[in-house]
Amino acid sequence: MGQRARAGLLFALWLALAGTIVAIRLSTGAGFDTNIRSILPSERLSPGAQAAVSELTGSFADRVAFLVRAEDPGAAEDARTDLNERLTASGLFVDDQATGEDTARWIFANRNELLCEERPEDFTDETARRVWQQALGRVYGVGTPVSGDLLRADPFLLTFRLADCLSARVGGANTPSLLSGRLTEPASSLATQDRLSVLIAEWQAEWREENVELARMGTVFHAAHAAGSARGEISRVSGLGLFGVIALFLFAFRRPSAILLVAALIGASFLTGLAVTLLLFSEVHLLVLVFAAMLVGIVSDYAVHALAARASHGWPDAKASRALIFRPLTVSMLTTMAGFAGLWLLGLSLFAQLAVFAIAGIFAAWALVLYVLVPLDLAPRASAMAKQDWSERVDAMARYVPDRRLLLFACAALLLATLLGVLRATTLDDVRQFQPRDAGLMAEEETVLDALGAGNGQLYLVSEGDSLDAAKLAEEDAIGLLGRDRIAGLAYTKFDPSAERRQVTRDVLQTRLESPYIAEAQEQFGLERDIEISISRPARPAWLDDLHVEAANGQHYLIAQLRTEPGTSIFFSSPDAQIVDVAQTYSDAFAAYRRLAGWALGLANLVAIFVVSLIYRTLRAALIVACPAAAMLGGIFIPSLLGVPISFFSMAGAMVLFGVGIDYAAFFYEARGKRENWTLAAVLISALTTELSMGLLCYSETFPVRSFGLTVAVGVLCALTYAMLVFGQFRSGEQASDAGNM
Amino acid sequence: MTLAKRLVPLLSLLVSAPALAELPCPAPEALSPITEAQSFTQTRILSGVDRPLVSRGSVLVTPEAVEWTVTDPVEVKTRMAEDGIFQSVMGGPEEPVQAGGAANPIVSDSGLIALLRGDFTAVDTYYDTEKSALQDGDWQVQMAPKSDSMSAYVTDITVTGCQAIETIRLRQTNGDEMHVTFGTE
Repeated sequence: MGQRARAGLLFALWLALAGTIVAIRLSTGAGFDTNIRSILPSERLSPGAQAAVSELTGSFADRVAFLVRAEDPGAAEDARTDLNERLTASGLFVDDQATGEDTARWIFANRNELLCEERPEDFTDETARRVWQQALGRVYGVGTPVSGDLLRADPFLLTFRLADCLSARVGGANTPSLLSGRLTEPASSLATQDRLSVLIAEWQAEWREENVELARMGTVFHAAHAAGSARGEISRVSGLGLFGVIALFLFAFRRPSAILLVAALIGASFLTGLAVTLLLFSEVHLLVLVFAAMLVGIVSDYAVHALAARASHGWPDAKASRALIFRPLTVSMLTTMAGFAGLWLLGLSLFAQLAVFAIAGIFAAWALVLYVLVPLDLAPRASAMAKQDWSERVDAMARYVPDRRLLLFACAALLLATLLGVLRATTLDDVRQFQPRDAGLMAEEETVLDALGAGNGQLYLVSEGDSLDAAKLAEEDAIGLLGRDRIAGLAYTKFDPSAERRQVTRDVLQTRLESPYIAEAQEQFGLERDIEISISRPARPAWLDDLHVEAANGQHYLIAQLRTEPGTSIFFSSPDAQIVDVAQTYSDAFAAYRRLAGWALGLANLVAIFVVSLIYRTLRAALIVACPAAAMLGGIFIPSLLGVPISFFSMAGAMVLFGVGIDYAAFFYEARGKRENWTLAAVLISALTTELSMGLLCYSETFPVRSFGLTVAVGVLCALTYAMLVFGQFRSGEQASDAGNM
Repeated sequence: MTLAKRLVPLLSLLVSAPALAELPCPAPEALSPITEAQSFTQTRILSGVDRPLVSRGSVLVTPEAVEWTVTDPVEVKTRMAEDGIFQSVMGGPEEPVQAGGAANPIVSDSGLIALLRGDFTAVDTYYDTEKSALQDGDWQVQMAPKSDSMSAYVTDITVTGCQAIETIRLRQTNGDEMHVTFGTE
């Protein structure tokens, strides 16, 4: 078996093994943790409470509402019905009114233990008199659906009264053109967003001629809009970047196979990192995958280094090729791996996962470049001529390398800019400012909210107890303190109060309504006295269950959405209930991760310095780490001069800089004293590849993407400039080809 | 079409002019509403309740609204208009009727308001109608609801009259009935 066949087999086995591990782990319970708050080191909420809040707020995120309007109200109603039918038929949507009968049964069964009033004492004698009058009005007025059975069981028609005051917002019962419900699939799913968008577009096309307008409200629509924008933007930026990388590789290596090989190795390294992480952890956090973007830069650095070395030496056999690059690649690999391994010391699951992912991925990149790419990289047919061509291109590149003075000036300027950036630095962790919401959708949302009579906001009241009844008591106390007007929509205890509250309500109704008026009601309506009507307690409506969750630790949590007024704050203190600002908790999480990532990078650099000092036994080698460290600072702080604040995503970009910066420095350090200039060419190609693949993201209109891209774009420039100066990779006199010798 | 628009035309038919009483009965569709107040007697026969619940009052149809006023045994004023249904009991403040009215398909999906306005065209939207002549020359229109939401509650509605609608009988699926007779007081 030839070298190429062996390499192909090794690659196939590698992919099969990694792929099998990933498939087995994902099918046996392992998965991805997409909750960015779930592994935060310090939260006000306990882990159980966090999970409960996530689940409960998730059910709010899956809610949607539509308001259908037209000049002709009949057309609006027909269009609403059509929309409801389409949504329901898709299986994506459950209309709130579909549970209307369950709600009505629940209210009827509990009518003597529920109140419209906030507190039992608010049900006064005057209220009781009005209830009796309302019952008379409903019985003798027109159109009220009073049945004999209902009147016998509920002579004061409390069911109607409660339905009016409690469930007015269940399904927008009193706004015929309003349609509300919940999605059966997560709003965060791209598939859900796409299916819903297509369905609504088809419905709009159908009703366009009737001048029917639609206002939408729901997280899913904002997510769909953001995803659509991001997809369009990333396609444009990535398309441009991909075109640039292809052009660069074709210019440098003149072989499309080089591009395919590098792309395959990036995928394989990523898969390896994921497989090993899934072996050691039951869940891989989504942010690990974000940080893992650094693998793209590292793999392409190693691959370009190998391709350049082989081209410069006329494509020697695999063993000779490995001899050329083994040491620089190994030094770089060990240093970078050691740096990432240091993240384990932070004691946080996220960074432990990242350490494992990075170590496995970087090792895979190193091994695959040496033992797969090198044998599979075909020598051109006319290799002598190709080598000559390559040398000419390398010389051409070297001619444009700045001289020492210019590099000195550039380094000084970049360091000064970094310093000024430190002085002007601001941070941005507020998720609400990451991507401003679409104004059109916001206006639609306001319209729907007006119709619903509900408030909007990400503020929730979370009440807890060691039993459901204890949680109910906590919520009742909290609502008592806040005022029921603060509740934006539904609250669990409005429909299913605590046993204590039920008893008090029964007593109040008995004292103030039953005793004074029952005889009159029986006389007026011709009802039998002392009739016994047995009512079986119906199942709790599904939407009510959505407001309650029992955590794994047995604690019960109830959630109610709060109404927020712009510019006002809610001050509230309760041992068993708290106000959770979902957007703020996400912002807090991003701030915490930003700080933690800063510490992680510092730690990684310290470990890397220790490792290179061990390898080279000289302090000068510490410059291999000092250069990328300075570049990271540049990447993080220089954008501040452009008014771009530091964010968690700057740190993710800095993680890329740590990886590629060490590559540049280590390769240059290893090339010292050798009369060759291909290392410089390889590093230049690698740097350009990173700029094109990640740096171009700085043109994104989405803040997280722009922040990441700008850090990489600026940082790669810094890393390259510092390393070139420190390791003598500059033009000296007319001998460009001598550049790099030190 | 709003629920008010649906109910009001029927009421108009109910209260057509007594002055036309001596003339042969016109077709129901030819009735024109009048705006004078018309008295009525409403009888509710509820299953399981020993005696019928009888109320009396007057109805007034205007282009803007149908005002259904019960004066006996209690005073209940119900106003059905474009912006909804409102009720005042025993001189109390006018309040919107919600789950007990507007959300009730007997009102919102029944076409009763259209019927009250004498709009049989609108009635055809909601019901399968069957017209017939009675022995005394009066006409009768029997209506079976088309929509599932309505037929869950209402078995049928029968309207009789000559120069104007004289009676409405609404039979519900639970066995309850409501009779309204116009011009009896």
